[in-house]
Amino acid sequence: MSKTTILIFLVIILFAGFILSLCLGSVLLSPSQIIDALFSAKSSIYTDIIVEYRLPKAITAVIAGMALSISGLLMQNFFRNPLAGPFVLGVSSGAGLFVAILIMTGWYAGLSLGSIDIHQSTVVSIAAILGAMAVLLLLLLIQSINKDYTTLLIVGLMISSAVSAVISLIQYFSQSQDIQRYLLWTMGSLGALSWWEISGLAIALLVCVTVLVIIIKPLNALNLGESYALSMGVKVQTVRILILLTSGVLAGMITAYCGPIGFIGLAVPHLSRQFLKTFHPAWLIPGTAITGGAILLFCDIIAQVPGMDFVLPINTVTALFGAPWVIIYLLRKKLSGTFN
Amino acid sequence: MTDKYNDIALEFDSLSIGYSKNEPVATNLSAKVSWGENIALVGQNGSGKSTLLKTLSLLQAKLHGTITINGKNSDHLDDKDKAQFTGIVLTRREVIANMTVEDLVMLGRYPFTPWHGRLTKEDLKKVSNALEATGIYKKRKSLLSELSDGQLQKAWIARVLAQESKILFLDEPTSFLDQPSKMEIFGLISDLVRKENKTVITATHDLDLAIQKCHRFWLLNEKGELVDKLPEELIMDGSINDLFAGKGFEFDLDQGRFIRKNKFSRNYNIKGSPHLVKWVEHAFNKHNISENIPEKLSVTESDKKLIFRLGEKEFTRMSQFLESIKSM
Repeated sequence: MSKTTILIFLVIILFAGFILSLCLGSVLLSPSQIIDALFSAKSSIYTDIIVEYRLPKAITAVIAGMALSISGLLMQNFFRNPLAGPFVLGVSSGAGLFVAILIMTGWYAGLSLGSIDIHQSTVVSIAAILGAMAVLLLLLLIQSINKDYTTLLIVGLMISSAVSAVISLIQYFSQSQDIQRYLLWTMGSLGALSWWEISGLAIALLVCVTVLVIIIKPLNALNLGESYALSMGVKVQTVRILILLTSGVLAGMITAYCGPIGFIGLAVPHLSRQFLKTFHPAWLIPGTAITGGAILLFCDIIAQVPGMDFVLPINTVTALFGAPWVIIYLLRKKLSGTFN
Repeated sequence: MTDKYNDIALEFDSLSIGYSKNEPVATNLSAKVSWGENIALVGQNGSGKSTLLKTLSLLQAKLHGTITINGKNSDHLDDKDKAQFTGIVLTRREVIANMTVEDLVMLGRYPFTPWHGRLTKEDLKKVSNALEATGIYKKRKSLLSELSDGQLQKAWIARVLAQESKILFLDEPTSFLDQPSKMEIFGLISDLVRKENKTVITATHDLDLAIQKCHRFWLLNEKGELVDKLPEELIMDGSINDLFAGKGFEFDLDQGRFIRKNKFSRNYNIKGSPHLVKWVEHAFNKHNISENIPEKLSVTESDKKLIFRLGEKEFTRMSQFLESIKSM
C-alpha cells in the first residue's frame, strides 16, 4: 500500500470514529437524528446534547489526540529516543504543580466562585498554562547552556520528578477535598471545554503545524544527526528551539485544558512509523496526527460507556483500553532500530 | 580549473583546534592544499584528527587562526558556500530507520532545494551520478539496515558526492571494514581526485593503503605538530615511526609495513627461494623459534606442493615441520 492510501485509510477511520462518538453516549442517536439536530431550523431535544456536549467533546478529543501525538513524535525524533513522549520535558509536571498550588493553597476556593467541576475552571487552565510555560522556558535556558541531548533529557526527567515531589509535599499539607479535586484534574477530561476554548486550541494547533510545515526540510535533515545537518547549512540552534517550543506548547495546552493525558503521545508515533514505514516528517507528522486523533476519539467513546449515564476518566481509559491494543500490535514488531 | 577557483583549495594558518581555549587539542597548525590532491591525515588516537577535520570542514568553531577556502576567509562564507566547498563523512555510519540508499543520497542535495525539499530532474540526475560513482546504483532501493558495512560507507560517501562539495573530508572511512572493502574505498577516493579534481582529506589508520594511494600525509605527532610530507619521505626519514611511538613497533623499510621491533633480525639460514624463505621465517618468528635451530633447513615448492626439509627428514605440512624443530 502506498503512503497516500494509508493516510486516506486513516482519515476514513478518524471520520468514522467522529460520527460514532456523536452517536454513542448515554442516549444512543442515529446519524439522521444527528444531522437533524445540527442542521434543521427547529431545535429538537437532541440539539443540546449534540451541540453543547458531544460535538465539542469529539472535536476536543481529535485536537488533543493530534497535539499530544505530534508533540511525542517531535520529542522522540529530537532526543532520538523511542522512550521519549510529550511529557519528558516535565511540561505536564509544571502544569500539575501550578494547578496543585492553586487548588491546595486555597486560592482556588477564593477564585473559583463556586465552580463545581474542576475541569471547567478557566483559572485552573491558566495556572496549568503558566506552569507548563515556566518549565518550558527553564528547559530552553538549560539547552542554551548545555547542548547535549542526553543531558537535556535527563534534566527534563529530573525536573519532572522534583516537581512531583513538591506536589506530594503540597498534598501532604492539604485538606482531603482539595486533594480529591487535584486527583480529579490529573485523571483528565475532554468534555468541559467551551467553544471559545476549543477555537483557541484549534488555532494553537494550526499555528504549531504551520511552524512544522515551514521547518519540514530541516526537520528531515536532522534525521542524519546534528553534525550532518550543520554541514548541510541547517540553522540547528533555531530549529532546536522551534521544536522544543512547538512540542512544549502542544503538550502544555492540552494538559492545561484536558489534564495530563498519558500514553497517546508515547505510543502513537511508534504506530504511525510502523504504518507508514518512513523516516520523513512530511509523512510522519500527518500520519501521527490522524492516528492520534482517531485513537483518542475511540478511547473517548469507551469512556462514555455507551448506554450508561456515567463517564470514566479519560486517562484511565487510554491506559486501560488503549494501551493493551497498542502493546499487542507492537509486540509483533521490532522497534530497536527506530533510533540507533 | 575555471576562473571561479583559486589555485589553493584550502589553507590554514596558525590554527588552534579543540573545544576550549584553555585546553586546545592542537595549536599552531599550518598547511595548504591544491585542487586534486589526496591527503591522508594520520596520527595516534587522540591526536586530534577528527577535531581537525571538523574544524576544517567548518562544523566546529576554530579556537584561533585562519582557514581560507578557495581564497576566501572561512569567516566570510555563507551556508551555501560552505556546503558547496566542504562536505564531510563522519566516522559513525548511522543506519536511519526506514531510509533507503536513494533517500540518503537525495538528502545530499539539501543545500540546493527549495523550502519543501523536493528535488528537480537535475537534482535527481546528480543523485544517480553519485550512486553510480560509488558503485551502489543497484542497491539504491535497499534500506540502509540491509546493507553491509562497506555498502553503507559507500552510501554515505554517495550522499556527500551528491552535495557536489569540492573539498571532501572523510573521517576514518575504512574503519571496521574488511580488507577488500577498504581497498575499494581508497580506490574510490583516488578516482574522485583524479577524475573530478576534488581535494580529499582522509583521516585514517590504514597506513598501508594510505601510503599506496595518498599524495601527501599530514601527520599529527605527539608534540601536537602537523608534519606535512610525502608518505615516501616520512618513511625514508623515519618520522612515520612517530605514529607508533612508544608502542614497540617500527616501520620496516623493506616490507613497507609496521612490525614489532627487534624481530626478523636473526638470520635463520634457510635454503630456498627468497619469497618462500621469508614466510618460513615469518612462522618461526610467530612461534618464537629462535634457540637451537638446526643447520640444514630448506624449503621448495613445485606444483603447489610444499616440501620442508630438516636434515634428512621431509615434511609436506608446515605444522609438522615446526613441531619437529621445536622438539629438538
